[in-house]
Amino acid sequence: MEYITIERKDDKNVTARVPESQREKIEKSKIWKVSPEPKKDGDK
Amino acid sequence: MARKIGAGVLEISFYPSGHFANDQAPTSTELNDAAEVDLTGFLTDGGLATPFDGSVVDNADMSSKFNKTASGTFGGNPLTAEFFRDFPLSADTAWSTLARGTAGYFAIARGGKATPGTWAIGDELDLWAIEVVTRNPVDVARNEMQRFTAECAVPAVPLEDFAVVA
Repeated sequence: MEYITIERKDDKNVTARVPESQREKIEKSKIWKVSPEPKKDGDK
Repeated sequence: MARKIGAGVLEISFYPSGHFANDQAPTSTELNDAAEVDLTGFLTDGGLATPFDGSVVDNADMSSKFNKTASGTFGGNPLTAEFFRDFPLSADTAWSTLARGTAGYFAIARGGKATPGTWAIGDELDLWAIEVVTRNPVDVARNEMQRFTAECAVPAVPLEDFAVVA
């Protein structure tokens, strides 16, 4: 089971982890958004 | 007024930690947000335990043979909830949501909602901050659905009997 990190839209320091299967729901949330993926080595 | 059983009435949802701007006054907007995970259809009938055990303190003195007591502390026992597993994993909402270490809230509408499935002003709920200590698969048994029990620490005093006002 994969998980994604989400953050409050009004405070990116408030984060939570939810199952990847909930990504679509989070994208409709007025409170949360999916956190950007951390840059990997080699990314510009 | 009406007495009600739990089945077909009680609804339970999970929200991530940090979801509520004020967890002592959740709003209908927050409760209905897309991040709500409705676990009602996964909860087994009789599977929810929200203990509020209290302690009494010995207060007996020499003036009487009666064993006087005083009220002590309360709470301290884990919240436990038993849910059905569902397969494949992508459909196993309760299991995947309540991974060990997950922090969040259970919103419990014990008396149901005016409109089932939707929070509205006037709906009454308990709001329990929880942290999942363990999710323990129930022993597999013949002719029984697979289930698991989530055992949760309760890091704050639960909000009880709150009627949604906004």
